[in-house]
Amino acid sequence: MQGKTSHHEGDVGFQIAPMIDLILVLMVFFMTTVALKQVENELGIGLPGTSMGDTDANVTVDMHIEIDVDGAVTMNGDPVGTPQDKELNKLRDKLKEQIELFDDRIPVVIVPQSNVPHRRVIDVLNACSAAKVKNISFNAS
Amino acid sequence: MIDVLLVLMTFFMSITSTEVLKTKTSIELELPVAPESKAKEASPGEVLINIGWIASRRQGVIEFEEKTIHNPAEITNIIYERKGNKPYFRAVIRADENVPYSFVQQVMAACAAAQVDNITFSVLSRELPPKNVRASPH
Repeated sequence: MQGKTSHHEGDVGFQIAPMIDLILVLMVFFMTTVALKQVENELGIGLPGTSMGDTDANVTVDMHIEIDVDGAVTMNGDPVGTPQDKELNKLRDKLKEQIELFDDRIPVVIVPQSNVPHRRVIDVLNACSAAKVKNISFNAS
Repeated sequence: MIDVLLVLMTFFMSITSTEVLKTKTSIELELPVAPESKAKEASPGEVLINIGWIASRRQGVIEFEEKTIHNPAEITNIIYERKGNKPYFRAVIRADENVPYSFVQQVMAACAAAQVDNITFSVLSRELPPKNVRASPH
Protein backbone atom coordinates (compact mmCIF):
# COMPACT_ATOMS: atom_id res chain seq x y z
CA MET A 1 0.00 0.00 0.00
CA GLN A 2 2.76 2.32 0.97
CA GLY A 3 4.69 1.47 -2.19
CA LYS A 4 1.68 2.28 -4.35
CA THR A 5 1.32 5.69 -2.67
CA SER A 6 4.99 6.59 -3.27
CA HIS A 7 4.63 5.51 -6.93
CA HIS A 8 1.92 8.12 -7.35
CA GLU A 9 4.05 10.89 -5.83
CA GLY A 10 5.69 11.28 -9.27
CA ASP A 11 8.36 13.95 -9.82
CA VAL A 12 10.84 14.19 -6.96
CA GLY A 13 12.63 17.27 -8.38
CA PHE A 14 16.29 17.84 -9.14
CA GLN A 15 18.58 15.58 -7.08
CA ILE A 16 21.86 17.27 -6.15
CA ALA A 17 23.54 14.23 -4.57
CA PRO A 18 23.84 12.09 -7.75
CA MET A 19 24.97 15.22 -9.63
CA ILE A 20 27.85 15.77 -7.17
CA ASP A 21 28.79 12.08 -7.40
CA LEU A 22 28.94 12.30 -11.18
CA ILE A 23 31.02 15.48 -11.17
CA LEU A 24 33.42 14.02 -8.60
CA VAL A 25 33.95 10.92 -10.75
CA LEU A 26 34.58 13.05 -13.85
CA MET A 27 36.95 15.31 -11.93
CA VAL A 28 38.97 12.37 -10.61
CA PHE A 29 39.22 11.09 -14.20
CA PHE A 30 40.52 14.40 -15.57
CA MET A 31 42.87 14.91 -12.62
CA THR A 32 44.38 11.46 -13.20
CA THR A 33 44.76 12.20 -16.90
CA VAL A 34 46.60 15.44 -16.14
CA ALA A 35 48.86 13.73 -13.57
CA LEU A 36 49.86 11.00 -16.05
CA LYS A 37 50.34 13.43 -18.92
CA GLN A 38 53.88 13.93 -20.22
CA VAL A 39 54.66 17.63 -20.46
CA GLU A 40 56.31 18.58 -23.73
CA ASN A 41 59.13 21.09 -23.23
CA GLU A 42 61.81 22.56 -25.48
CA LEU A 43 65.58 22.93 -25.91
CA GLY A 44 66.65 25.70 -28.26
CA ILE A 45 69.79 26.20 -30.38
CA GLY A 46 71.03 28.75 -32.89
CA LEU A 47 72.34 27.74 -36.27
CA PRO A 48 75.91 28.90 -36.98
CA GLY A 49 76.52 31.94 -39.14
CA THR A 50 73.20 33.60 -38.32
CA SER A 51 71.96 36.04 -35.72
CA MET A 52 71.44 33.35 -33.08
CA GLY A 53 74.87 31.83 -33.69
CA ASP A 54 76.84 35.07 -33.78
CA THR A 55 79.46 35.23 -31.10
CA ASP A 56 80.89 38.08 -29.11
CA ALA A 57 84.02 39.39 -30.83
CA ASN A 58 85.87 39.43 -27.48
CA VAL A 59 85.26 35.74 -26.87
CA THR A 60 88.01 33.75 -28.51
CA VAL A 61 87.63 30.47 -26.65
CA ASP A 62 85.19 27.96 -27.97
CA MET A 63 84.26 24.52 -26.81
CA HIS A 64 83.75 21.54 -29.07
CA ILE A 65 81.70 18.69 -27.69
CA GLU A 66 82.12 15.59 -29.83
CA ILE A 67 79.68 12.67 -29.65
CA ASP A 68 80.97 9.31 -30.83
CA VAL A 69 78.78 6.71 -32.59
CA ASP A 70 78.71 4.56 -29.43
CA GLY A 71 77.58 7.57 -27.35
CA ALA A 72 80.91 8.51 -25.74
CA VAL A 73 81.21 12.28 -25.23
CA THR A 74 84.44 14.30 -25.31
CA MET A 75 85.02 18.02 -24.79
CA ASN A 76 87.98 19.48 -26.66
CA GLY A 77 89.46 15.98 -26.74
CA ASP A 78 88.94 15.14 -23.03
CA PRO A 79 86.48 12.33 -22.27
CA VAL A 80 83.54 13.71 -20.25
CA GLY A 81 80.91 11.00 -20.60
CA THR A 82 80.74 7.26 -21.16
CA PRO A 83 78.05 5.81 -23.47
CA GLN A 84 75.99 4.73 -20.42
CA ASP A 85 76.25 8.11 -18.67
CA LYS A 86 72.93 9.86 -19.41
CA GLU A 87 73.35 12.65 -16.87
CA LEU A 88 76.81 13.71 -18.15
CA ASN A 89 77.74 15.30 -14.81
CA LYS A 90 81.40 15.66 -15.75
CA LEU A 91 80.44 17.61 -18.87
CA ARG A 92 78.13 19.84 -16.79
CA ASP A 93 80.94 20.59 -14.32
CA LYS A 94 83.40 21.43 -17.10
CA LEU A 95 80.90 23.70 -18.82
CA LYS A 96 80.14 25.48 -15.54
CA GLU A 97 83.88 26.02 -14.95
CA GLN A 98 84.26 27.58 -18.40
CA ILE A 99 81.22 29.80 -17.91
CA GLU A 100 82.60 31.06 -14.57
CA LEU A 101 85.95 31.81 -16.26
CA PHE A 102 84.51 33.52 -19.31
CA ASP A 103 80.80 34.17 -19.86
CA ASP A 104 77.60 32.28 -20.56
CA ARG A 105 77.78 33.52 -24.19
CA ILE A 106 80.89 31.42 -24.78
CA PRO A 107 80.23 29.43 -27.98
CA VAL A 108 79.62 25.72 -27.52
CA VAL A 109 79.72 23.69 -30.72
CA ILE A 110 78.24 20.20 -30.66
CA VAL A 111 79.81 17.84 -33.19
CA PRO A 112 77.91 14.53 -33.33
CA GLN A 113 78.90 11.75 -35.69
CA SER A 114 76.31 11.05 -38.37
CA ASN A 115 74.85 7.85 -36.87
CA VAL A 116 74.47 9.14 -33.32
CA PRO A 117 70.83 8.72 -32.23
CA HIS A 118 68.87 11.90 -31.57
CA ARG A 119 68.39 11.00 -27.87
CA ARG A 120 72.18 11.21 -27.28
CA VAL A 121 72.32 14.65 -28.86
CA ILE A 122 69.46 15.67 -26.56
CA ASP A 123 71.41 14.30 -23.54
CA VAL A 124 74.25 16.68 -24.42
CA LEU A 125 71.84 19.59 -25.00
CA ASN A 126 70.25 18.76 -21.64
CA ALA A 127 73.67 18.99 -19.94
CA CYS A 128 74.30 22.33 -21.69
CA SER A 129 70.92 23.59 -20.50
CA ALA A 130 71.73 22.49 -16.92
CA ALA A 131 75.04 24.41 -17.11
CA LYS A 132 73.08 27.46 -18.41
CA VAL A 133 74.99 27.69 -21.69
CA LYS A 134 73.36 30.33 -23.92
CA ASN A 135 75.26 29.99 -27.20
CA ILE A 136 74.94 26.50 -28.66
CA SER A 137 75.33 25.48 -32.27
CA PHE A 138 75.93 22.36 -34.35
CA ASN A 139 78.66 21.34 -36.68
CA ALA A 140 78.89 18.44 -39.10
CA SER A 141 81.45 15.78 -38.28
CA MET B 1 30.23 23.23 -3.46
CA ILE B 2 28.91 22.23 -6.85
CA ASP B 3 30.08 25.50 -8.39
CA VAL B 4 33.62 24.88 -7.20
CA LEU B 5 33.54 21.32 -8.52
CA LEU B 6 32.28 22.47 -11.91
CA VAL B 7 35.02 25.10 -12.19
CA LEU B 8 37.71 22.56 -11.26
CA MET B 9 36.33 20.05 -13.75
CA THR B 10 36.30 22.62 -16.56
CA PHE B 11 39.91 23.53 -15.72
CA PHE B 12 41.16 19.94 -15.92
CA MET B 13 39.13 19.28 -19.07
CA SER B 14 40.63 22.29 -20.85
CA ILE B 15 44.22 21.32 -19.95
CA THR B 16 43.74 17.76 -21.18
CA SER B 17 42.13 18.68 -24.51
CA THR B 18 44.71 21.39 -25.34
CA GLU B 19 47.62 18.97 -24.97
CA VAL B 20 45.95 16.34 -27.13
CA LEU B 21 45.46 18.83 -29.95
CA LYS B 22 49.06 20.02 -29.90
CA THR B 23 50.76 16.64 -30.19
CA LYS B 24 48.56 14.84 -32.71
CA THR B 25 50.60 13.30 -35.56
CA SER B 26 50.08 10.51 -38.08
CA ILE B 27 53.58 9.08 -37.53
CA GLU B 28 54.60 7.40 -34.29
CA LEU B 29 57.04 9.47 -32.29
CA GLU B 30 58.90 8.74 -29.09
CA LEU B 31 60.38 12.03 -28.01
CA PRO B 32 63.65 12.00 -26.04
CA VAL B 33 63.62 12.96 -22.36
CA ALA B 34 65.42 16.06 -21.08
CA PRO B 35 64.70 16.96 -17.43
CA GLU B 36 66.55 20.31 -17.74
CA SER B 37 64.39 21.53 -20.62
CA LYS B 38 62.31 24.70 -20.43
CA ALA B 39 58.57 25.16 -20.73
CA LYS B 40 57.36 26.00 -24.22
CA GLU B 41 57.24 29.70 -25.01
CA ALA B 42 54.59 31.32 -27.12
CA SER B 43 56.09 32.35 -30.46
CA PRO B 44 54.69 34.90 -32.93
CA GLY B 45 55.51 32.54 -35.79
CA GLU B 46 56.67 28.94 -35.97
CA VAL B 47 56.56 25.78 -38.04
CA LEU B 48 56.29 22.32 -36.54
CA ILE B 49 58.38 19.57 -38.15
CA ASN B 50 57.77 15.98 -37.02
CA ILE B 51 60.57 13.50 -37.77
CA GLY B 52 59.93 9.78 -37.46
CA TRP B 53 62.17 6.77 -37.98
CA ILE B 54 61.12 3.59 -39.79
CA ALA B 55 63.45 1.05 -38.16
CA SER B 56 62.64 -1.80 -40.58
CA ARG B 57 63.69 0.27 -43.61
CA ARG B 58 66.22 2.38 -41.70
CA GLN B 59 64.63 5.44 -43.21
CA GLY B 60 63.69 8.82 -41.81
CA VAL B 61 60.30 10.33 -42.55
CA ILE B 62 59.08 13.90 -42.08
CA GLU B 63 55.52 14.93 -41.36
CA PHE B 64 55.11 18.56 -42.22
CA GLU B 65 51.74 20.31 -42.36
CA GLU B 66 49.92 16.95 -42.58
CA LYS B 67 52.06 15.79 -45.52
CA THR B 68 54.57 12.94 -45.42
CA ILE B 69 57.93 13.84 -46.94
CA HIS B 70 61.05 11.69 -47.33
CA ASN B 71 63.46 14.29 -48.69
CA PRO B 72 64.24 17.08 -46.15
CA ALA B 73 65.17 19.54 -48.92
CA GLU B 74 61.52 19.60 -50.05
CA ILE B 75 60.43 21.59 -47.00
CA THR B 76 62.82 24.51 -47.56
CA ASN B 77 60.56 26.48 -49.90
CA ILE B 78 57.47 25.97 -47.74
CA ILE B 79 59.31 27.13 -44.60
CA TYR B 80 60.65 30.15 -46.49
CA GLU B 81 57.09 31.09 -47.53
CA ARG B 82 55.75 30.66 -44.00
CA LYS B 83 58.58 32.78 -42.58
CA GLY B 84 57.96 35.79 -44.80
CA ASN B 85 59.25 38.87 -43.00
CA LYS B 86 58.65 37.64 -39.46
CA PRO B 87 61.79 38.44 -37.43
CA TYR B 88 61.34 35.95 -34.59
CA PHE B 89 60.25 33.00 -36.67
CA ARG B 90 61.36 29.59 -35.41
CA ALA B 91 61.26 25.93 -36.37
CA VAL B 92 60.16 23.41 -33.76
CA ILE B 93 61.61 19.96 -34.46
CA ARG B 94 59.79 17.00 -32.89
CA ALA B 95 62.17 14.16 -33.67
CA ASP B 96 61.91 10.53 -32.57
CA GLU B 97 64.69 9.60 -30.16
CA ASN B 98 66.05 6.92 -32.55
CA VAL B 99 66.46 9.16 -35.61
CA PRO B 100 70.17 9.39 -36.53
CA TYR B 101 71.76 12.81 -36.31
CA SER B 102 72.50 12.83 -40.07
CA PHE B 103 68.76 13.01 -40.84
CA VAL B 104 68.06 15.68 -38.22
CA GLN B 105 71.03 17.59 -39.64
CA GLN B 106 69.45 17.54 -43.11
CA VAL B 107 66.27 19.03 -41.65
CA MET B 108 68.31 21.72 -39.86
CA ALA B 109 70.10 22.43 -43.14
CA ALA B 110 66.70 22.83 -44.84
CA CYS B 111 65.71 25.33 -42.12
CA ALA B 112 69.00 27.20 -42.55
CA ALA B 113 68.44 27.34 -46.32
CA ALA B 114 65.02 28.89 -45.58
CA GLN B 115 66.83 31.49 -43.41
CA VAL B 116 65.39 30.20 -40.16
CA ASP B 117 68.15 30.31 -37.55
CA ASN B 118 66.12 29.73 -34.42
CA ILE B 119 65.59 26.01 -33.95
CA THR B 120 63.94 24.33 -30.99
CA PHE B 121 63.80 20.63 -30.18
CA SER B 122 60.69 19.26 -28.52
CA VAL B 123 61.45 16.94 -25.61
CA LEU B 124 59.62 15.34 -22.71
CA SER B 125 60.25 16.72 -19.26
CA ARG B 126 60.17 13.31 -17.59
CA GLU B 127 59.97 9.66 -18.42
CA LEU B 128 56.89 7.62 -17.68
CA PRO B 129 56.72 3.84 -17.16
CA PRO B 130 56.11 1.91 -20.42
CA LYS B 131 52.48 1.74 -21.54
CA ASN B 132 52.49 -1.96 -22.49
CA VAL B 133 53.79 -4.26 -19.81
CA ARG B 134 54.10 -7.71 -21.34
CA ALA B 135 53.65 -10.86 -19.32
CA SER B 136 56.79 -12.99 -19.06
CA PRO B 137 56.75 -16.00 -21.45
CA HIS B 138 56.28 -19.45 -19.93
